[in-house]
Amino acid sequence: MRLDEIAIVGDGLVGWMAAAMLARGSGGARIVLHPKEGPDRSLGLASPAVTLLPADLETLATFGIDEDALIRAAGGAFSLGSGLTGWRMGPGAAFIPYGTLGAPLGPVAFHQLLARARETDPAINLANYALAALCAQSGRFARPGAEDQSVLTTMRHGLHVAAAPFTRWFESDARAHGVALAGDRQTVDEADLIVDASGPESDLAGPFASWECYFPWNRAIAALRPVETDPPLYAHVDAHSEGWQAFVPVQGAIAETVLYRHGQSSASPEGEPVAHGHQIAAWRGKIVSVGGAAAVVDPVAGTALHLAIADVARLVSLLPTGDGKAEADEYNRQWRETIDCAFDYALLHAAAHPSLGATLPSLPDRLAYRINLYEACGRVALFDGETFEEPQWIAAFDALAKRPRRCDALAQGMDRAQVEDHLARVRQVMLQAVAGLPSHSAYLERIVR
Amino acid sequence: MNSGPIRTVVIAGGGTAGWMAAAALSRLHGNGVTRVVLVESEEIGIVGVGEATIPPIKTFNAMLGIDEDAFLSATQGTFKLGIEFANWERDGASYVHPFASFGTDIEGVKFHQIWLKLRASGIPLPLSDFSLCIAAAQHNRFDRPDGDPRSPLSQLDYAFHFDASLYARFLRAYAEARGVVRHEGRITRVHLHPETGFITALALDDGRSIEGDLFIDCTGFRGLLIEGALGAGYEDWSQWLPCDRALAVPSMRTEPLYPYTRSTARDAGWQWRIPLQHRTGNGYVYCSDYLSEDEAAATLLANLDGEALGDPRPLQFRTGIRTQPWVKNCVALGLASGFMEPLESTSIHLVQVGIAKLLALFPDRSFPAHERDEYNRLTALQWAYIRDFLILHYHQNARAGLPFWDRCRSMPLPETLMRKMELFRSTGRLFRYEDELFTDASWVAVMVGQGLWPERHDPLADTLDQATVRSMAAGIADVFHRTARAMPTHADFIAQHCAGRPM
Repeated sequence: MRLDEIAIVGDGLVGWMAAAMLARGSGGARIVLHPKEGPDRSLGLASPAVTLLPADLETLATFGIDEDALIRAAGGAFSLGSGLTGWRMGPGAAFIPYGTLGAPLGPVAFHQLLARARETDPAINLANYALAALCAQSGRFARPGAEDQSVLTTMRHGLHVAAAPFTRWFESDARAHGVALAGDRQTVDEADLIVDASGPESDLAGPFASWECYFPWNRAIAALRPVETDPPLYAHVDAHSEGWQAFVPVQGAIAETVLYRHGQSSASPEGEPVAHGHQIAAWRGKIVSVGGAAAVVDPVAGTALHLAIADVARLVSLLPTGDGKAEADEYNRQWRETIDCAFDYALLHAAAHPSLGATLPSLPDRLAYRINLYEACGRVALFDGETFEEPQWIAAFDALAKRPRRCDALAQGMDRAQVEDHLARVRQVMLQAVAGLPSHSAYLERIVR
Repeated sequence: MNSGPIRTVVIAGGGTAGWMAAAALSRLHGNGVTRVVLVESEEIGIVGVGEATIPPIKTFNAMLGIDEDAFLSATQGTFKLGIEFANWERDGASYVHPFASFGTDIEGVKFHQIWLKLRASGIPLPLSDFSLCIAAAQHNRFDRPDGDPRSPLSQLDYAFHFDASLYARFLRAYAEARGVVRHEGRITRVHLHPETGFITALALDDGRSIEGDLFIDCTGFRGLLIEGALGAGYEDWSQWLPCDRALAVPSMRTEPLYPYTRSTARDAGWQWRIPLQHRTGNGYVYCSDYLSEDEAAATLLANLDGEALGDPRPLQFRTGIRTQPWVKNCVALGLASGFMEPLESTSIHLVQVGIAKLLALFPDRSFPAHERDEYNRLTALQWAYIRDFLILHYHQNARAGLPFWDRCRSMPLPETLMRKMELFRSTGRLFRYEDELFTDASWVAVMVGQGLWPERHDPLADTLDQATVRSMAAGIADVFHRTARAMPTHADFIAQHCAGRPM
């Protein structure tokens, strides 16, 4: 099969992003975009602001997409993690930072040292030892320089951007690389490969498996509210009685998305339906569904855009040149592993919902395994296709009231005073580093100017 | 239910596996409660042969705080830059599977795709041009790599060859100095708790009983504890890796001292050549369905490059893995946990990885299932991917007319390997799964070395500026050869840094 023409269905965020990435990575195929009527639900639901995780910024960079240009074009604000309130939680405020937690002492990992220290003081807050969390708390941030070797390099950052200008940015980039809109009489069937980026209600979709039993909040309302205050360095997800609400800050505005259980609250207006679930196979024949058209994982952890970016990057690395069967099989395998891991992470949150968590069916084996292993000895089981790394899983477990029953054998052997000393020193070094950073808004201003 | 930290770890069996475990676990003494003891018998022969290793062993030694030169001197060790596979694809053809990688990726495009693209545009440079390890090996030279990424010498990685019984002795001294107690004796019985079925003690031939909470089975193929007492079960892999015998014989050291292992395909298996300081280790791994021991011995002895220093020693094995290497309170390491032939020098590595996983998942006396399950899950995955890599060497051959090799060429393959080969054959693509040991560079070296060529390259390689790519390619071989020639010879390097006692 020669790849002469690639058709992209959907002119929303995922469609234009796929166009821009494929234009660079398709080795010369003609790319034609077929718009689809209706609001942009290419990520699964309408999202006025979107989250770029640290890994996403790296992926986009390999496609030649510059972070500073994004910040200027799409009202970008830096993100260092997300805060949680209202869930069934551990003591103290909860924050899931990007980057690493604390620093190891010899061969003993930081979170094991924390478990040891908590033997005497259970209220020790993990967020006090993550540089990203400390920066987020104090509203200060700057990216480390290329030659920087300091503790600042242990932090990773993401971005929050406004979806509409983000989409326009990809559109102009794609058009500059030769992507054209389909003519009136051009059909998708003429193409050698069809990338379905139109969202969950696509005509091109195959058989679907639902996850609705795990995520009872099946309606969403989203809005972008202008604000005068400086954007915080984090998103925030608050559980309420019928679901949850996320606040994602960008320059000059905040996106508020509420997910709730339909029919339970007479006061709420009709929102759009949210179909949690996934196709059985994302790549079928010559159609590859990407983003929300392939799967809708509960967006509680801000993974929707990441999954779409991962889909397109994976497609670029597996563009078919022969009959495409080996590539399609491999794509589907990797895609399934990726959405399953994202699903586990989202379900970890859902199961900790204060009122609805107890109504969910029993957890599927893989997530139960992860939780049991962590609670036994603080080990994190990681699988292929993880969105989040070990520190984020640990922070999520910790925030959602899962603690290991004991620390590991090596940590047990450590003198407690030595451990406490180490914790104090780590915090000291981090606080000093934070104090030297500019405020978030001052830093943004430098970039935007 | 018991709880609290493990009081006594009993390691059953010495040898490399037992003493590696003892040395690594001795750090647990720091918690003031745990003690490690090891039971071995001088009478029982240890399978020690000249062993080759892979780069992660440097991490193991570093974790123990072992000085590399001291260790090499004590074990008559030499350096290893890779493995030369002679006649594996067909008679007369040979390739090297080197450590480190080939070339460098450019703008996210993997190097081997760039190399394939160059070939497609009429520039068929050999893959070996792009490896500093291969250049150094060709010149029989060695130097330690430079940490500075701008230096070509940073493109080198290495491991070791050493006398396994001397390594065990070296680690024994380390472990005993840190409080590990050695008990001499043969295990006659394994006592199990009447209700839980957990191991409570080992009875020795002199009447002593060694009690413990956690038992590490390093008793070799017999798996006295894991299999003999606990019946863990064995998953047989001989349908994919049918070799079941080996003959090992040392020979006189010859010059030059090669800084690599050689594996030569033979009629019904392969012959290894491992250079040590004091002698050369040799062996023929073969399938008894196709060859008798006498024929194998004759072939082996006829193909030594130095005088034999003894009679060939026979070994028997069945390739496979213990169904569960951790059952109840017993963890199997080394030969007790399974066997894969030393084709890619993975045996010691699997011991190292088993120990690291055990430390990471170290139980307390309640022995929760989760740690055990995670240990077994991760171990099974790691073994399976290594197995697939070994099968590739056998299956992808053009050694027509030899029944053993014909069988290997036509045998059904595990699905995981077929997928990998199919994807590579189609567009040269590779994906690395679940923490598997071998990198893209290793798979490319062996796939291409064994004659599995992609039908086309990844179109991403076409998007790079061709002039830049060509000038990069043209320069590399030259730089690597110059860098290699500037290194000391392998023999000189050893003489200067880590010479062992003459034996």
